[in-house]
Amino acid sequence: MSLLEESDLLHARVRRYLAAAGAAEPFETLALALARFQARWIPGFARLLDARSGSLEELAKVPGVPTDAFRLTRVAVHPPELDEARFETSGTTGARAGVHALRSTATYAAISTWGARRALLPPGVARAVVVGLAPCPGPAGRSSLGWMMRRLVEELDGRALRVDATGAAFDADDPARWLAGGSGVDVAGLERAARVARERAEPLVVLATAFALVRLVDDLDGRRVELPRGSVVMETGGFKGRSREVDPVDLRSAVERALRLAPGHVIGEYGMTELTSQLWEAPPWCASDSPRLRRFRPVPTLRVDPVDPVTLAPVPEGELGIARITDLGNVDSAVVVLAQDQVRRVGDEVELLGRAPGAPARGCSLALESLLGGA
Amino acid sequence: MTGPRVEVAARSPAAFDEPTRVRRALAILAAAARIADPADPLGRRARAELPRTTGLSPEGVELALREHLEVGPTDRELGALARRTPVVARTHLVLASTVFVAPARAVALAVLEAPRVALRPSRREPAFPALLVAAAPDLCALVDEIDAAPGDHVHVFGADEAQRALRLAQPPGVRFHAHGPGLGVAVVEAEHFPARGRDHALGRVARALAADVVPFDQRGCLSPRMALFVGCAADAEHFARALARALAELEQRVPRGELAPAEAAEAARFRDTMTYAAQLWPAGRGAVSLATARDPLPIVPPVGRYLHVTVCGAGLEPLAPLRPLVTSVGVAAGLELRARLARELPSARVVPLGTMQRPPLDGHVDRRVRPETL
Repeated sequence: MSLLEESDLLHARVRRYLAAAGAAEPFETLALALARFQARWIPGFARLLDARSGSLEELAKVPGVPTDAFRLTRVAVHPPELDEARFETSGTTGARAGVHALRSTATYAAISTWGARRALLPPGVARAVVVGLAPCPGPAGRSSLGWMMRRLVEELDGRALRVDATGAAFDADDPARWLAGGSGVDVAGLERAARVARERAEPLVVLATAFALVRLVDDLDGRRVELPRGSVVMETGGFKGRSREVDPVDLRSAVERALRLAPGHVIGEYGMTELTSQLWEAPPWCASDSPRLRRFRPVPTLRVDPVDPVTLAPVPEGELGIARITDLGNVDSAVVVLAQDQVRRVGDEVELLGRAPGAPARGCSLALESLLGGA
Repeated sequence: MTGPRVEVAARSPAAFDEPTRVRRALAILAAAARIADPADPLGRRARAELPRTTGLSPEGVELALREHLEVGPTDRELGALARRTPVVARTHLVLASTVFVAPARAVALAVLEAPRVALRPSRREPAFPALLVAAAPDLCALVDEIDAAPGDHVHVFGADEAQRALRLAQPPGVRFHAHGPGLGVAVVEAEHFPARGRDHALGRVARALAADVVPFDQRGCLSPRMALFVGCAADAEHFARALARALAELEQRVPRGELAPAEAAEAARFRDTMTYAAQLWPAGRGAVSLATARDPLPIVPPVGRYLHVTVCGAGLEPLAPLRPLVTSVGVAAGLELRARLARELPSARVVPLGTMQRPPLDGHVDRRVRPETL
């Protein structure tokens, strides 16, 4: 079987797994199939497997690919000419960006839509008006988040942004839908989108980064935009490299007040350029108890295990470790990724605590990461 | 740290003449020599305490005491240094833990410049400063916190955050010297060695570089962390392999100590990253990695005897972003490249490989320091 045939079959298998919400076959079986595929086609992964005395027979023994590897080399089974998308990590000016090359975006689309539909649309709601507090990412953007936002506009909405969309062509790149840019947030555009949603008796879904939400609150300057009942805001990302940081709890309260949202209707999403699958905070209509900030549930194609940063062995339940992430969506890159974020597992949720406090261990230590520009 | 909060009584300015200053510096060097002497009670105490406070192996401590503690300068050399050093009323030293013998130089220079010298040791490594004060109690004193007045000099060794915090805490008029983090870089020019016998020569260069990596388990600001190899990929691989062998051999004689948890995590991550993205050879408890793709951006490994070899052109492109951090360049290259490095890195010590960790007592180790009056 050729690389492409095998890759296509594995993509299809992952999408079937997702559609069955994990009931189609054991997670570990599919993860190991991906690891074997990647070990055959990626010499770097085969070297890592060998150096770590890893095994392709047991998922716990498949070594994780550090996210730094995405900055230093190509992490892909396929040659660059077969890339359908190339997503770049953010970083400081002059620093090395990481690249996640995708041969097919179909699985990414399926996974992100699956998670967003459950996290952002209340039960019984098939469609919503969707806007992004972001610049228009365009069809061939380099940001995986931008790509996902655009896809969610297509999948959760997919209609022209007007009250009666009959006969009007849908355009995912309609500037009226992308409401933030260098000059701030287009508050009038947000009010217009809210009016359209209200007239249609649908909720409004606002896709936003935390930084864009700060801009929104600043630009509103005490004014309010009333969103229709059931509306939600997807909040993702942090303040990396930005001049101003805001406490996440304060920000959520401010957004809920500014948009007259019910409590819990700002829903966190967590993704990484190096991943294809996401984690979502439980929406209020799903949470068995009150949702907890920064606690996320992975989609069925994702598993996060906190591990010891030196031995990479799993830490006991409830203890902090760095995130070893098994992502079935990473068919053509790295099925197991080793991130630098600290995490703790709490039942079926994962608490994300950001980077380990990077106290340079001894005075003159200069971390590789700081010179690579941060992630 | 529980040193007495006392300082040596100020002498009259007239008594603080050049011969006195030189005698004071020589007394500090004599104190250091006692600590280096395994037969001296202070030397025995040093060997008992320092492995615990430094994280180095006993052999690593011994290597540092025997070979990297400055005890050799003559009164003539110190006289020349004294003439270049302005006299001030008080000097305060805030010491770091990274290179445990470094306080000897810092204190020798401090007693040259001021009649009253206060030392605040690092919390992690208080043993060596305590030994030094025990050997020369009239010349300097340990303090828990520095208490500088306008006109005093304050030298702070260590991480940027500590520098910032201490700078903010000083009153106006203090002369502040920030000895911040830095690193060493090796530069090897293959063409400098005739093609015939080049492998042998590169093996010799690798052994010299390994000798620069091992002291202080690479935690010093002079410690080389990356090697720029000007030459072809095949020669670079030969060099990297020879370096890994040399480090492994040195490990037998001077085992690496334990890494702090954050250092160990960084090292584990580096190993996996470079195994995946480049080539990596184990080298004792450390490793040597090699990238041959002529990447213009640098890769700086963690401490703990890790070295990254990168192939580059004569432009030494990966060095450019690191320039503000480079304190020392160990060179095995032709005259032209050596001269260029000295020209382009005027604040770095450009020295032959194998001598990076033995800077002469010609002033502070780090020449990048630019004192400022607050």
